[in-house]
Amino acid sequence: MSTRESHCILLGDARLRSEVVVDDRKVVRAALGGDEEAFADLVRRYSGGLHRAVAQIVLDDEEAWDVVQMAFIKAWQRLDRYNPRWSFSTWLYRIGTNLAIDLVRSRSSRQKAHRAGNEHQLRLVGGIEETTTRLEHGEVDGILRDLVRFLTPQQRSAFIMREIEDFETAEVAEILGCSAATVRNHVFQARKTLRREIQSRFPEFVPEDQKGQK
Amino acid sequence: MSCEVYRELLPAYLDESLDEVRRTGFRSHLRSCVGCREFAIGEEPTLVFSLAGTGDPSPDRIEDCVTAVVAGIHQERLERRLRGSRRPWLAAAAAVVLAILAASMWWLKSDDGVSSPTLQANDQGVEISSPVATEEIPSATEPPPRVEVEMIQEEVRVYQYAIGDNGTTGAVFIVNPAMEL
Repeated sequence: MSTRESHCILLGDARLRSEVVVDDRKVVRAALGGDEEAFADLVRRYSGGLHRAVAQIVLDDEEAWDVVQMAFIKAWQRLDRYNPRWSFSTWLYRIGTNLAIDLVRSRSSRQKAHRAGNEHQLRLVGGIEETTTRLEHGEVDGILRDLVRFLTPQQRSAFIMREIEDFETAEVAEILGCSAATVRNHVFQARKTLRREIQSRFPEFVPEDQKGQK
Repeated sequence: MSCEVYRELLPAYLDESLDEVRRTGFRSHLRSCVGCREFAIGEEPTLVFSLAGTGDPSPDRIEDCVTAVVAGIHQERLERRLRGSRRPWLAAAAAVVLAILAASMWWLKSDDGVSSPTLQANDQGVEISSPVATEEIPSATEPPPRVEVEMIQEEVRVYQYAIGDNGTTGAVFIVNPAMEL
């Protein structure tokens, strides 16, 4: 692929994203007028992504669906407070993430995480090239879920939003209600912890020359 | 952009110093190019998670969620409508009317020389709680019962006092503002 083609694709992605944001605002206006079907379209558009992110925070698929539903209902109740300066998804993820973090804090997270860790006893064999080409997306999700329990709720949220959901730093800062520098720090700390855990639990992903390093 | 260029972007990606457009391009390349992914994971093992989060829930699960959310919205609307239909002033007016009726009945009965009336007006929304004391019947020459109405948030309380020979008899009505009138 030529540089120009690649650049066009990148610009295309950015344009597509801004078109989605504009369309979201139209749908939000319709929903504000009481159009439930318009709001249902927003649920169809964002519930999958929000569930993916929330499930990695609460470490439980079913609880994650409950959080997603609560987040949408809360969003509907507060739709008149939505600030169009931010995309609807940013605002929605903020509500969902806060609910998820509250849930993690309110329950005995250690016990839940322990159970989730036991559910996923994934061990892979072979070198890096063999393993990552064989890896199914679901398996990587399982490994991530197994390891994020070592992160604080904020680190977990920042890492998921930034590295999995592809939010911009400014958007993650808005979602978590902190500064961009804090987001970068959360992601940095999360990466450091995950690297350490990968080295001890999944050494097949660590190059030979890095094994044993902390 | 060639794989070499993407590989050169790796340190900037890890430093969080790439602009967002390049960052998005880098991530999408990492997802699609096995060679660059192997290289990147070799440099930074946590980049194995570039493959995470690409699976979407089934359409049925999404529709279940839509149904649950719409049901939640209907429930919320219903609750809001019920809250809106509560009219404390109406409940207060009803309480006053009830109190006056009760006082009149009491007055008429005591005029006829009937024994002490017992307030039984315990309908759906009206409760009679804890009479302060139950004493003898006030005679017709005694002053009429005194009625006081107090509103505490949405709750309306009606106090009725009558002075008898041996002290004061009191009754309090608590009116439920959610009562349909």
